Amino acid sequence: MYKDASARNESGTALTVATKGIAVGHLRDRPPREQRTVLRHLVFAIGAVGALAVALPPSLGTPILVFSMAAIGCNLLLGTGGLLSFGQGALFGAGAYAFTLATVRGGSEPLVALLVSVAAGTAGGAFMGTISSARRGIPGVMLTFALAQLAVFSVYAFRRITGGEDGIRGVPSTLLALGPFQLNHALSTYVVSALLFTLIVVTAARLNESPLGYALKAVRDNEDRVAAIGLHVRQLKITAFAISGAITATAGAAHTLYLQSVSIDAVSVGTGIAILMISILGGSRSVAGAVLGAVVFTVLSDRLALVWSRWPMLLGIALILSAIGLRGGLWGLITDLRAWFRLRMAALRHETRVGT
Amino acid sequence: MDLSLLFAQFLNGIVIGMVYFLLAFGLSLIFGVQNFVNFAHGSLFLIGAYLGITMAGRLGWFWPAIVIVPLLVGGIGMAIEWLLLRRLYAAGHIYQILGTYGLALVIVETVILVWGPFTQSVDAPDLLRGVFRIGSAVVPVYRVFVVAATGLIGLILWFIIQRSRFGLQLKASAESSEMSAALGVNVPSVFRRTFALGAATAGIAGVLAAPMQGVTPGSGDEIMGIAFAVVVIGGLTTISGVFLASLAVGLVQSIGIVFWPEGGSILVYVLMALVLLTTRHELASA
Repeated sequence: MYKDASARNESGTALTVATKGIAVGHLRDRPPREQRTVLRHLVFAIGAVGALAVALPPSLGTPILVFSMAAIGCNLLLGTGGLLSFGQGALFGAGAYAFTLATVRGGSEPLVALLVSVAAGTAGGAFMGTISSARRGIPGVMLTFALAQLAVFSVYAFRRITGGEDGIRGVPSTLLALGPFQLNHALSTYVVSALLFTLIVVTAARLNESPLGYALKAVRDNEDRVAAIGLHVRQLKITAFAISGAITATAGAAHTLYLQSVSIDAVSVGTGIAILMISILGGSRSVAGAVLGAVVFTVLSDRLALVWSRWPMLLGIALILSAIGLRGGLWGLITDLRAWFRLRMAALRHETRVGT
Repeated sequence: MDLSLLFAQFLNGIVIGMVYFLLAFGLSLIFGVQNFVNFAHGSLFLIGAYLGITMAGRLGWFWPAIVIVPLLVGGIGMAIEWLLLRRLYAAGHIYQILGTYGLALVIVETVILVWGPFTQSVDAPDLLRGVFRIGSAVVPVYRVFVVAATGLIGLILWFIIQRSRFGLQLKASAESSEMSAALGVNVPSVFRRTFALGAATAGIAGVLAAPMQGVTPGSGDEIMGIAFAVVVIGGLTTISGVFLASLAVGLVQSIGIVFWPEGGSILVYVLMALVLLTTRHELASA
C-alpha cells in the first residue's frame, strides 16, 4: 500500500516539475534539477557540519558524522533500492580493518589507507551483492545475514591477522594544521570526517537523481517491470551494494581514525543493525533523514545510557512504531507535517480571500 | 582423532538439533501459514527459558513448568499477535522484520529488567540427573530425556496439524485465506492460534534447553540465527523436513567444533548459503 502511494508521490513531483518547465518559460533558464540538488545538499552538508561543531563537542560530532555516512550507505540500499541488508556491519568492518591493517601493518599514509578501505568496501559490497541478489525477497535478506555472520566469525578465525577479540591498536593520529594553527586529534578527525561526510552527502544525493538512482527506485517498486523493460536487475543490485560498500567502508575508516584502533565491534552484526536503525528511524529515503537519524541515535545513546541502561527498549518501541505507522521515519514525519502545514495555510489564505 | 569425543559430539549434535527443531518448527509454521517473518521468535524462546529457570530453580517445579510455561508463552504470543503483529501482516516482509526486531529488543530489555543481565542456569530435576554409559562415552540422562520429550512433542504437533480440526483450518488458511474466510473459517482467529502454537513450542524449547546450557539475555538472538538457517535449509514443506534439517544443523555444528573450534557456527551459515544458492524451495519464491 505504502509502496504504491510513494511511487505515485514521486512520479507526481516528477510530473509537476516537467509540466512547470514547459508552462513557465523562465524555468528553462534555471540550472537543471540535478545541479540544484548538488548545490542544495552541499549547503545542507556544510550547514550540518557547522551546526554540529557549534552545538556538540567533537567527541559526539565525529561519531554523528561517521554514522551519518554509514546510514547514507544503508539508505542507498534500503530507501532507494528496497534492499534490506544485515551486512552493513561487515562492510563497515571491512573499511575499519582495511584502514587499520594498511596503517599499522603496512605503514601507509592515511590517504592511501583510505583508498585501500574504499577498495575493500567496494569489493566486499560487490561480493555481498553478487551472493545476495542470487535470490529475491527474504532469502536474499537471509543471505546478507549469513554473510554478516561469516564476517564476524572470520575475524575470530583469522586472529593472527585481525587480532581476534582484542582487535588492533595503534593507528597513528593524523594531525592537521590550518595555517599557523595546529589542530589536536579530536578536531583533526572532525575535520577529516566532515570533508568525507560532505563528499558523501553530495554524491549520494546526486546519485539518487541519476539514471542509476531512478533505475534502483524502479527495482524497489516493481522488480518484474524493471526486468520487463530490459534492465538488468541483478547488475543494478550488485552496483548498489558496491557503492553502498564504498560509502560504508569510508565511514568505517573514519571511525577507526577517530578511535585510533579497531575491535571486533566494528564488524559485528550489532553494528550493522545499529546502522539499519539509524537509517530507518531517520527516514531511509533521504540523505537528510540519515543525518537526522544519526544525530538522534548518537545523542540519545550517549545521554540516555548514563541515566537508564535499558534505553535500547526505547529504540525497540521506536522501531515498532516506524514499522506500523511512521514508515518515512522522523524526516518523513517532518516533511508530512510541513506538507500539512502548507495545505492548512493555503486553505486559510483561501478562506480569507473568500471572506473579503 | 579421539573416537569417543567424536561420538559424544555426535550425541550432543542430536540433542541440540532437537532444540533447534522446536524453535524452527514455530518459525516455519508462522511463515508458512501467515507468510510472516518473525524476528521475535528467539525472544519467545528466551521468555520460556527464564520462566523455566524461575519455576524449576526457585520453586523446584520442573515438571509443572514443562506444561505451564508453554501455555504462558503461548498466551504471551497470542497477546503480541493481537496487539501488534496483525497490524504488520499487510506491511510487507521488510517492515515485518523491522517491527519484530523492535519487539525482540523490547522483550530482551524487559528480560534484563526482570532477571538481570547475567547468565542463569538451573539443575535438571533429581529424576533426570546422572549419566548413561555407552562404551567409553558418557551421556547425561537429561539429554536423553530431551530427545524423548521432543519426539513426543513432535508427535503431538503432527497430530494437531494433520489430524485436528484446527490443523485443517490452519492448512486451509495457509492455502488461501480469502477462500477459507468465505467458507466460514475465522481466519484472524486461526492466525492468532497458529502464532500461539508457534510461541508455545518456542517456550518449551526454552524450558528444555535451560538446564543444558544456561541462559543469557543474548541467547535468544544467537539461537534465532541458527533456527532461521534451519528453516532455510529444511524448506517449509513438512514437519519432517524441518526435523531433518535441525538434526543436520545440530550435527554439523557440534562435530564441526571438534575439527575447527572457532568455526562450528561458520559451517552452519556456509551450509545455509549453499542451500539458498543451489536450491529452489518455497522460501525462494516468497
